[in-house]
Amino acid sequence: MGLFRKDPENLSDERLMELVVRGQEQAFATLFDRYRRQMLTYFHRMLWQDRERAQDFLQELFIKLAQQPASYQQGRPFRTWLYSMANNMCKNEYRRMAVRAAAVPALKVLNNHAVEPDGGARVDHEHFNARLQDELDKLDPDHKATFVMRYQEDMAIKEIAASFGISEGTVKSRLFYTVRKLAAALPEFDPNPKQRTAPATGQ
Amino acid sequence: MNATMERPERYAPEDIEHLMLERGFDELLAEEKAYVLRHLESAADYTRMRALLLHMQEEGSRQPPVDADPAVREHVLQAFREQQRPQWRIWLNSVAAFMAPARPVHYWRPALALGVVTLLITGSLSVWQAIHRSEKGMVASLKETEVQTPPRPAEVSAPPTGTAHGATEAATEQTEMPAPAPRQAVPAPAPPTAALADIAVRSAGAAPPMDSSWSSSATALMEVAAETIAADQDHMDDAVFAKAEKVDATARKHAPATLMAAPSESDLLGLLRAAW
Repeated sequence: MGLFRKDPENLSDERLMELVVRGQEQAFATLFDRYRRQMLTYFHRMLWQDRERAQDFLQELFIKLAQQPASYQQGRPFRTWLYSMANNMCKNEYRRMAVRAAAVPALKVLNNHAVEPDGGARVDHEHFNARLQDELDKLDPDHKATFVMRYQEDMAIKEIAASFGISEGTVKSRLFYTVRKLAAALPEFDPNPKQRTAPATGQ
Repeated sequence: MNATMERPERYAPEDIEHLMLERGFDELLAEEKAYVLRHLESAADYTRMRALLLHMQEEGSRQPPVDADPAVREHVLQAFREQQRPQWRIWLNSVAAFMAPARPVHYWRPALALGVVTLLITGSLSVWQAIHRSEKGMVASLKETEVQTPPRPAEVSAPPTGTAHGATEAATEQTEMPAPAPRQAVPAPAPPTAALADIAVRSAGAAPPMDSSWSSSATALMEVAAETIAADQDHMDDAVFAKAEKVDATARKHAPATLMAAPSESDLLGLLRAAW
C-alpha cells in the first residue's frame, strides 16, 4: 500500500492502467483480479466452452497487457479496450481453427449435442446451452461476439459499440437480426408451439 | 407504455427488444402490435424471440461463476515483472559471459587480432600527434626574411644584424647619428629632444654591457646633440658638422654590431605580438 495514496481497489480502471504503464505491479494485479472472471467467462463462451483454452487465452491476454502496456490508449475506457483485444484474439482463433479444419477434416470441431430434453430442468438447461452454442458458432464472429457481450456479459450497447468501434445503431441492428435468426434456428424452445404457424392478427 | 405510445414513429427494429423483455405479444397495445408486425413476419416470431431472450436472462443468472487457476495469475505477474526488469542487467550478463568464457581457447585468435589492430591505431595516432606537435606546438618562431631598405644617402648604416626585422631595424635607426649630408641639398634635420634622450637611455641603460669606448662615444654624441639643439638650425656652422662627423666615425669604429642591433624589451614584445 505504500506505493499508493489510495487503496488500488478504489481506483478506476483507467487510473490503474496509468500506474501499470509506470510499472506498478500492484496496479496490474488489481486489474487482473478485477477482470479475470469476466474475461474467462467471455473466452469460455466464445471459444466453444473450452475451459482450458479459455484459461490460456486469459493468460495470453494479460501477458500482452504486461508486455505492451503503452498500447493502451489514454482516455479510452479500459473495459471496452480489453474486450476489443479479447474479441480480436477470438477472431484470430476462429481463423486458425477454420484453416486447421479445412486442412484436416477429421479435426473439425463439431459439437454434436443431440441430447433430447427429458423434461428435467437441468437437462433442459444443458440442452438449451448446447443448442445455443451450436447456433452461435454458425454465426459471423462479430455477430456472435455482439450477442455474447450483450446477453451473456451484460454489457451496455454503448460499451459494445466502443469495443467494436461502431455506432450504437449498428450494434442494435446486429442484435436484432441475430436474435431473430437464433430464434428461428431454435424452434424446440418455443414456449407456445401452436403459435408457430398461427398468423399474427393485430387486435 | 405511455412514453412508447407517444412517439411510435421513433421506434427502430432493435427497440423491439425492450417490448419483448417486458410483455408478450398479447399484452401489447394495438399500435405496438402494428409496429412489431411491420418488422416481424408474425406474432410467432415475436414469441420465439421473446422466449430466447428470456432464456438468455435466465441462463445468465444461473451461470455458475468461473475462475482461473492461481497459476494463471502467477504466470501473468511473472511476465509483468520480467517486462519491468531493467535491461542493463541483461546487458551486464552478456558482458560477464564474454569476460569469463567457458572455453577461453576459442578466444585467442580474435583477441590477438584485436590487440594488433589496437596497437596499430595507437601507434599511428602517436606518430601523427608528434608530427603535428613539432609543427604547431610552438607559440611563435623567428624567420629570417630579407627586407629591402631604400638607399638613403645620409644613412650611416649599421652592418646587417642578421635579424632584419622591422622593429630591430627601427631600433637600429634610432642609434644612428645625424647624417652628414650636404648642407645645401638636405635641410638640417631637427632632432627632437625626446628622441635624443631616448637614444641616450637605450645606449646607457637598456642595452647590454658595453665597453668604455662606446660609452664615451655615446656621451660625445649626447654632447653633440645638445649643441645641435642649442644652436640655431638655420645657422648650423661647419664646425659642428665636422665635429659630428668625427664623433660618428669614432662611434662606428667602436660600436659592436650586436649592440647596434640589440632590441629593447618593448621591441621584443612587439616582435612576439607580430609573430603571434
